[in-house]
Amino acid sequence: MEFNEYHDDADILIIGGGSAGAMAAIRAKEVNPGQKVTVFEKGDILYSGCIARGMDALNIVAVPGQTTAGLYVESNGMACEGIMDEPVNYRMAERSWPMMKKLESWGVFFPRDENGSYELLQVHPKGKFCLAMKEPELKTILAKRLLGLGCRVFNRVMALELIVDEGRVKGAIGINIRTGEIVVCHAGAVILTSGGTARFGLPNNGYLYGVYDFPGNTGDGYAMAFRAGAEVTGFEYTLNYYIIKDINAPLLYITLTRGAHLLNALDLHLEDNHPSIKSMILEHRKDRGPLRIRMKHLPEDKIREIEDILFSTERPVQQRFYEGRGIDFRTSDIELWPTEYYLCGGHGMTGIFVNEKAETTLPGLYAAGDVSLVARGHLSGAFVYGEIAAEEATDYIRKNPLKAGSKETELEVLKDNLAKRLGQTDGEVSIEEFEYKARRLISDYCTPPKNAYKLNMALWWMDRFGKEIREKVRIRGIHDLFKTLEVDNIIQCARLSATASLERRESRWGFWHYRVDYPEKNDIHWLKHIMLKKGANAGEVLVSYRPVARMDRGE
Amino acid sequence: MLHNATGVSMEVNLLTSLSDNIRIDRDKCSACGKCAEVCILDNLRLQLSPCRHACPLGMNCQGYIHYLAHDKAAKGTETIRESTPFGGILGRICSRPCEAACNRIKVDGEAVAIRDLKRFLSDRTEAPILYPTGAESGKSVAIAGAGPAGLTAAFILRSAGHRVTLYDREPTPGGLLRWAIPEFRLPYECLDRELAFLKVMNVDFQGERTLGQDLDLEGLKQQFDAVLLTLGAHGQAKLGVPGEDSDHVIPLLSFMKMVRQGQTPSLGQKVVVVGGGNGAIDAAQTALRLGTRNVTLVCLEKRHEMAAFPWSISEAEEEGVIIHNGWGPRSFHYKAGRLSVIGFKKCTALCDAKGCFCPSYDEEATMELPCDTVIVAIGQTIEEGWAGIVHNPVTLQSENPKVFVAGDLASRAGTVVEAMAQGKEAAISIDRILKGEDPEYGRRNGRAVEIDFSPDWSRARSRARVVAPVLPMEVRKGFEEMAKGLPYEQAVAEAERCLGCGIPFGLRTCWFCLPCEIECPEQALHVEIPYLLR
Repeated sequence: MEFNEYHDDADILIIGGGSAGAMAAIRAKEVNPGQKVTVFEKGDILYSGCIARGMDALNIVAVPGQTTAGLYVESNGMACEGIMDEPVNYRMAERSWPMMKKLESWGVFFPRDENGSYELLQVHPKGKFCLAMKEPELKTILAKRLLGLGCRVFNRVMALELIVDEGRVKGAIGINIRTGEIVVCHAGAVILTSGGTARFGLPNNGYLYGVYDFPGNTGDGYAMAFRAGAEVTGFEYTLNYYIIKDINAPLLYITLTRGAHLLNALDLHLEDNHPSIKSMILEHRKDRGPLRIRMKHLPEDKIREIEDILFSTERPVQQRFYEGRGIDFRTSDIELWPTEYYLCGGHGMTGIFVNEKAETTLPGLYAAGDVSLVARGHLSGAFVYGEIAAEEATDYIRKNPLKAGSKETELEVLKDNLAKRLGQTDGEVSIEEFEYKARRLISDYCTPPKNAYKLNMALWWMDRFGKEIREKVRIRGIHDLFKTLEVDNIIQCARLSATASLERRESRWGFWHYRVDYPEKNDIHWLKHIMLKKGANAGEVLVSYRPVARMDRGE
Repeated sequence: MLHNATGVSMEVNLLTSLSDNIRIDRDKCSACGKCAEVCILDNLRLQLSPCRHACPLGMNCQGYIHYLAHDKAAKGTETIRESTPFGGILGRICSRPCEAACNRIKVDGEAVAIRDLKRFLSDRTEAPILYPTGAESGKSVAIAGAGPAGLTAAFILRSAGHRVTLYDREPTPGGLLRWAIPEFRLPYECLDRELAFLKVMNVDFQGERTLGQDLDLEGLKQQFDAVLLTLGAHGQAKLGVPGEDSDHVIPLLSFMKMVRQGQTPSLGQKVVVVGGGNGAIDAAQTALRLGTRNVTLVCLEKRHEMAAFPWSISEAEEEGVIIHNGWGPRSFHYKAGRLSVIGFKKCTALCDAKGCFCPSYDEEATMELPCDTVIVAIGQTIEEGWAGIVHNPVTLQSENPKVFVAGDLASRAGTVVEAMAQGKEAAISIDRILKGEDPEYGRRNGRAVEIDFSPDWSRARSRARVVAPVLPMEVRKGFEEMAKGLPYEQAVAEAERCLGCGIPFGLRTCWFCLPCEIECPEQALHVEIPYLLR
């Protein structure tokens, strides 16, 4: 098939139109209404990304008079067990309150009590930073805003490669996942906001997706940034969550902070010790799971309140799930269970390395949201750094205007490559079956409990998959092709993850990076970032260290 | 579904045999496809009904028929207007490729009367058309030729907020809709009603301007941001028979225009129409209504080869037109300065061995018909100087990036609906160019649709197709509209014959995020928890 090519010129190209990307697009037009902003979005921007129906809270808001950015830095530093760049997190916490007010001015609803106070919940070791939000239309509000401001959105376009010229990122090449058309966007700066790797390990429920991150997030941004030469980090932070068994919808903090009880399988109450995801997983791992949420003792109005939020925002489909199982909060417990493993900068610490200007290590390339490392930044991090990325990118372009007429030879190579893969019409295995196996083996070898043997097996398997995906997989049409490209990225992320896990010869972050061969935490040697960067030879991954950035205590 | 070496079909793996968790209520679904448009995981597709697939305008016929069958006529009308403001015109004269593709034929031999239902919904007076226009763009477009292609483009471009100037060489717009299609098929009341948008939307119509005479292309290119040529094909093919140039041998378009202007010459008592297409049939029936006693139609084609709609041919014969198939004109004979006889030779084959139009004759087999007037309706050509404009088949942009073509001028599909569809495509291209966007992106293929599928006919019951009332023969003397339009109950009954072929389906990669459910205008879609997670 012929790959028709279309060219677009922009000042700023944003890859990924979810929370961070939408905010970046809006901000880019706010700071310079005349600039051209293009967005590549793999799905359809009206509802795409992790917040299709909103989220139940903004997890990080430093409310004036109640908490401070400094307290947040301290608190999150504890949660990250010391590996957290303070300036980046400080800046986010500083801007979190104005960000929330801005969203509110756009119509996003944050419930208040009769005194006008917002509802604050404690989910961090110190301080109440989690601010309740009840807005199922959050994504559509943002999408309509950015479209109204004149941003050009290419829906159904998956970015494939960044365009790098003379060491500067100058745009990207993408493919329309329905038509197969190639879109080449030249831009003065690129902001990567393509999310984490939600499709990494395999859930145990037989279904394809478990975690509540958008399943279209297949580490595309991680892989592209890595291939372009940017430094990435935190790939050893293989993360899973502990949420509602089978349906994997959130409800922990909404319920615990309203007086729900948490019990283990032996009926021991655990709600008093500020249970965290980490501690719950450890409890489950000690064979005392599943843990359960119990609400039957709560007054009717509290239960109604909880139902109201859960059934309208974020994963409203939960209501059907409970009905299907005959679960009523007034009479039954809710079972919790570990999810599969995934990589994420928002929930975890995996991401493209950025500083407090959202700059990556490549000039012209910015990153925000789950694809970047702002250490468990969640939605607040995505929004704040989306804005910062847009501001900084705008400034960068002004100071470094793009010279016209750079040629990409990458385009012909890329089209050739795609054509070859489309020629795999007689492969013996469907891409779905291939993905299933790859993710099953990622679950087997890349995830905790880790040891050197398993991690090396992971690398062996990923090498093998890298070959088999070109030899054994059947690709008939564009739909199969783009699923294959997604799996390419998943495999790449697994490679990076196993490499980083092998390097970090200690255990840290609860069960998430637990190494049986190095079971103790070792702050003397390992209180630092493990950075990965593409080497000069094909397939080479260079490992280096970066010290954790601290702020002057005199702040 | 794959087949192994012995031809046995097999499920490929666990993942493809997962149950589909998307439930569609067929009594509510109008097959609009909104769910597939908004699905963020590329999970939903639409099985496209054959009627919609066959329609050059991509109209959701299944949708408007569904609404009519479910007592929601207003929504039906709205659905038509999403595709065209000319539902009444098409509802009377469209060539109906939808009906030819209709699956109902496989149930009881007759298609659903899709065109009649479109007419019913478009003629409803309870729903006046609103003509919203977008914010003024500051850009201007010139359209030369106010026929179906030009009118459609004018409507779309004006709706988008561009300033539109529409030129035509006749004093009033409509093109062949007004000047060639007879009033008894398309009454002027309907035409004028559906062309009222020109005034309401402030399209600047400039009549009696002819491109190449008092209007020139270069000037238009300079004055406007884009130019669309929809000149049609008004050149009238000649027979190439001696004696042809006479007042009594009238080309079709000239004839129809004279009738329209009330300036018909005296036709005498015997009229012969040469030609086998719809134009020829129209001319024959018009001649009858003008009082001619004997009207004969002669064409090269055998009966089944005639280009005219079969239903029109039958109608003409019922009215008394005599049809001779398989003859080509050979000579004209005059007596005392008046036409008296037209001679024919037998046409033995229409096409040559390669299938190209190249009639062969038996010169020895002849026929002579007495006649007072001959109307020549053997086809139209693009007028000299305007033929062969090279253009991109998808965007309809010519080699000059500012100039676009559409309709019969661009390609000889020859039907009104095809011309309208091209007008629409050209307008989309122009709108994109004026906004600085690529005109071709996303337009070659790749809608989330499937056309190769077996529809669910379990609810079909055999029922005869409705017969729309027509003017009784005795009354068909004047130019009153022949087809009368269906009464409500009959329209609904006919709508119930629709099988509802099109329906959305899931590819089993659902994330149950619910935008599909939210965006469904009919609450017809329900996302269930997949069985594995329930």
